[in-house]
Amino acid sequence: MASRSDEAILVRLVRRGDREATARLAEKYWPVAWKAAYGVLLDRALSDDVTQESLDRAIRSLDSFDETRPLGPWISRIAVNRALDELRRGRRVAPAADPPADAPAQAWHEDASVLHVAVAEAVAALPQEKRLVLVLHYWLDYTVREVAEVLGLPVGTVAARLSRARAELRARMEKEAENAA
Amino acid sequence: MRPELDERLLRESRCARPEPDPAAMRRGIALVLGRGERAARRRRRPLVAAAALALVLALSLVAVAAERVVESRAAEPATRIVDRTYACTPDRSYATSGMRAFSVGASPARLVLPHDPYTVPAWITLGSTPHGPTSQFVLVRSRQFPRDRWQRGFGPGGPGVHVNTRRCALSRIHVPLSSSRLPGPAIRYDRFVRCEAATRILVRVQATLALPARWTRIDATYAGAQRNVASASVAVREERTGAPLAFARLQGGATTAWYAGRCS
Repeated sequence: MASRSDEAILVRLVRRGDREATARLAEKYWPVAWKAAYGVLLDRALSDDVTQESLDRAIRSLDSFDETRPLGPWISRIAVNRALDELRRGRRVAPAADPPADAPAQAWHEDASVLHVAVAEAVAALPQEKRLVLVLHYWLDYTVREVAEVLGLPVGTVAARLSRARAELRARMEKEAENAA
Repeated sequence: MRPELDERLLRESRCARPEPDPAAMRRGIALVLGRGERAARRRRRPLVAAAALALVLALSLVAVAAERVVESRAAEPATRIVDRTYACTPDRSYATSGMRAFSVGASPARLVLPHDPYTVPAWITLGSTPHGPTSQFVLVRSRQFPRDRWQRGFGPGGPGVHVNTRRCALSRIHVPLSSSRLPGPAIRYDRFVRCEAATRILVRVQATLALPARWTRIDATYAGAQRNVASASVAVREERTGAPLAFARLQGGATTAWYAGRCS
């Protein structure tokens, strides 16, 4: 894992317009930004778009970045904000049609355990408002206060949604376990 | 066995998220690098050119309300990745109370005359009807037409990505490349539909060329990058509402397309 000083050197090179350093930074943090965006959007194509825009924005904003801080979480947050913007924009459009019959099923990491995939599938199946608080808090390590800030909600509402989301997840997984038995 | 859903398990389940597609990642990084280079070149321009740029920016502030961008006249580097978004103005359809109408469609590579083994290349096109040499707004053609006569009446000749700059202007509005919110199943055969929109339409075209090419003016009507196209995506939305109207993909000689229910 690169040390903080390696990262600071990379940031300085990118600020100077070093193309190779920019490519290295983009390659290193593309998966970080993409996974953050995917957790919010659950759509590969949209996540590709959002990641590209987020990295572009991050590179252009590097002049104001405090290089004593880690770069990964900062880029991840840019991607999350951009992904949330995409979701908000989507709400103004006509209601979603049923997904095409030949749309690929949710794809999860091939190395993940059956249990982790089961939990991830249950998270993905939650209604959007519950899924978002869960993903931001448990997958992207936002504190409850930070979740409230980024979603524009009171802290109490976020805490309540987290509690209801966990309860619903538990119920779904118990039902799955019963059906499998 | 019933797993206990504790917070630790919830956090660990993040590892089940899939990895990004390597090809999409390479395309995206190429675009990010391309934008960075254009930004760096702009910073190095001498003061006189910078003053001219300031004037263009001031003029484009007026155009910001319409989200239009003047198509760049500066030479762009040759690149394999094309990713551009345009606001296009279809003609009004007098048959339907002045709504704007256009045709859009995709056609896979196919043999036109079975006894004459020539393959018409795969293509995606969007434009006015009736078809004419300058009727296409956006045209993506995977390869050269085998016979010159096939090219007449279908926009500029040659392979590549072509855009009608008399009907379309660059736009900064983001258009996702996705078939979400369009009904399925995907159409894999030759089909063109007619769509209507109350206002202008946004068209985003992203293509991977077989070889690098510059984006240049082709003739009085079209600009583009003329190389064989390995893959491409074209997404169309209504500008005012953002409602998706069509999404088409071209990969090799195959095409897949989705159209809004209101297109027919």
